[in-house]
Amino acid sequence: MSDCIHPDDYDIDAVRSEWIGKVVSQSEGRFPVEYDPIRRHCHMTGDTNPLFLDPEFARDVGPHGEVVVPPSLLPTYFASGGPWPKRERKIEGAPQNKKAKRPFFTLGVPTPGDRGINMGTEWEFLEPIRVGDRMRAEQKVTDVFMKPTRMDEKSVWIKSAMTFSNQDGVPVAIWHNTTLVHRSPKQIKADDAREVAA
Amino acid sequence: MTSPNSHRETRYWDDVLIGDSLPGFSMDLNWTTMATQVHGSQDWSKIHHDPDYAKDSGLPDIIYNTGWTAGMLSRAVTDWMGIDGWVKKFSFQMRDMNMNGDTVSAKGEVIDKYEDESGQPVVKLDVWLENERVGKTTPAEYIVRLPKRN
Repeated sequence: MSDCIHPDDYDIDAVRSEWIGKVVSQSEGRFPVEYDPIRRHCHMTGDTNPLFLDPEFARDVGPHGEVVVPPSLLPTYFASGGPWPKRERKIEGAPQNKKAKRPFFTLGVPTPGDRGINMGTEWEFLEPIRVGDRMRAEQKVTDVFMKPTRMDEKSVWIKSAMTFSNQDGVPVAIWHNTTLVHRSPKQIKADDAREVAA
Repeated sequence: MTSPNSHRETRYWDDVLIGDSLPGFSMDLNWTTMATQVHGSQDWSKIHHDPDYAKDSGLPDIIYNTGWTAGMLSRAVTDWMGIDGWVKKFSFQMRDMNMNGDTVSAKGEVIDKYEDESGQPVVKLDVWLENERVGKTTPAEYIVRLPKRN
């Protein structure tokens, strides 16, 4: 368990008041938008679309003049440092997350549990994202609430919005996400045991 | 898992009918596709590749991740919409799980066709993933802009 709060000690109203509207991250891509991560994405789903895979076709025939990112979650990859290695360089003025032990999917929001499942997502694509673009992103918490689930009656739901911009500062996509944060069966047992002991 | 030649053609808004089906496609999930979903998404959360960790989290087994899910849904749409289509918006809910051993199908249907508030010709699509074990796992809605003739 990483930095979890016992449900009896959890104050959802205080969490909502501190976290809703907060900018929790700003990031920029380690690399420009590249061909190969798009190819790997297409491999994952068996996609052979030449707009995503064939530079010559994309330039000569396609409507965007270059290979583009498919409508997918790939903008998050291109606007970040990626999963490895950890990136030391920070954007000047970006918020620093002091809850370092919190799992990434909580966005730093305190919760009773430390296991997460993505429940729903919405994307708006405003402009093409082309190979060679440099991406940035800013993410805000838009809602936090408690709603029981079959896995955990003390589940916390976290909603967020991330706006992606290109090298010209033009917004190209917006991602709205809902994550369920729950306790593992082991942790529920441990929390229940504390209640009994008390 | 081949894609149709519609990738190289234009689908016109004028020719689309409400009730049209998207051709869709299917994929058998196994340890190789588990590896490609991590490779393709770069999502290293252990519930997507470590069965012991997934079970310790209360899940029956590893589950396929959000990047893979979005990719499967969107491929069904981009396979259909042709070279000049543009996905303006999509949303989906991960209501049930896709796991190794499942055959997952991506399917869709045109449910509306109109000019939006800015006068752009768009279609609304119901798209979903389903498997033989539980039925529909992932309902989605897409708004796609298509070119008009002339």
